[in-house]
Amino acid sequence: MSEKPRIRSDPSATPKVTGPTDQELVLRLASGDEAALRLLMDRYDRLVRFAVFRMARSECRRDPQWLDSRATGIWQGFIQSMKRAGNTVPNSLKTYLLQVSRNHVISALRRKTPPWDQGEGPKATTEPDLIEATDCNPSVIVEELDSLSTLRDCISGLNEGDQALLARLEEIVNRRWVEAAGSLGMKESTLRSRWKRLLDDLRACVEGKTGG
Amino acid sequence: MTKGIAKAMSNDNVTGRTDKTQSVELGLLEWNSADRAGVFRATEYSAVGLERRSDRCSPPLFQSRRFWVPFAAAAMVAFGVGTAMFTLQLRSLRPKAGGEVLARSSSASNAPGFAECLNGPGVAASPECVKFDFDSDRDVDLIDYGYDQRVKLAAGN
Repeated sequence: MSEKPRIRSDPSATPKVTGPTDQELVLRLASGDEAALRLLMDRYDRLVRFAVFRMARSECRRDPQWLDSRATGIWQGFIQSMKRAGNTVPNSLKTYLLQVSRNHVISALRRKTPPWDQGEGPKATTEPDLIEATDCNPSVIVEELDSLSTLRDCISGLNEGDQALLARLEEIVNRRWVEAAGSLGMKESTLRSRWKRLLDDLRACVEGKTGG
Repeated sequence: MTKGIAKAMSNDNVTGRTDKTQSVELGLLEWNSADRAGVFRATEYSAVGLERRSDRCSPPLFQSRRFWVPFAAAAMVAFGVGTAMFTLQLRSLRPKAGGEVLARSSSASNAPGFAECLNGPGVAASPECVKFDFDSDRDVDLIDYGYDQRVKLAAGN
């Protein structure tokens, strides 16, 4: 089947890293260069934010500002540690930032744990958020973010009708077809066919981008 | 296919959809959840920026060690200097023996001063002390001292 792809490709969606290397930027940052910080944030802010989300999903859902304040704190901690380190630059900035993020999230979650649940005892380690945060593997986080970014690029290439349908995602996915069609005010068969076509398009787009 | 979506394919779903659609749907749910949590927003640069950060996050100056350590050192030095100066001043203000005070009225350092010449009424003044016999009664007594003081006061000394 040689069906024409319906999703517009967006070449600017996944920018390639050009310009100064991470190491150069870190050295510039340590000497107080604001522009270097901006460039580093452009490169890695999404990774930091996704890491926070991935490590403390339920906390991010509970409080919409939580992720913002954690990300800000992580960048501030990163700046401080780079200033302290002077000319010492981490080998992989991505891994280093993920480590800083992990430590920051764990500290924040521990601060939120009630006093009677803190300490070295077994109670502290049974906190689900803390387990989620401590179990996070950096390479998995990077892969998952890549997947999501690809999917997001594909979604941004959908037409307006499909994007409007995606805005009702939870109503469609978490319900039976009849209920979902009823709440959207359309026939079940129409919803099914539109939804199937949308998913097929997205799948084709994702596979096209990743070569899968 | 990316690993995240492939991983999602292995999950069960209650909606009764096929595995293929489930995988994309789960990917979409993850995207939706991340989007709502703010993963795809950008961290506010102004909240992190180098200059702002130091302004906003450092404690007020009077609460920091950077203030209190030099302040305490300066206060201790000032206290020491002040104490020393006060002590010296006190010593200089302490009343001297009468003769010592009177001796300072003498203008010549080697010549006998008024104190040395103050032998009292009726005692003949030596030739070096005649200059203090202001009332010409041949002795140097307290009358001469009073005369001497009045002359000095009139002269502004």
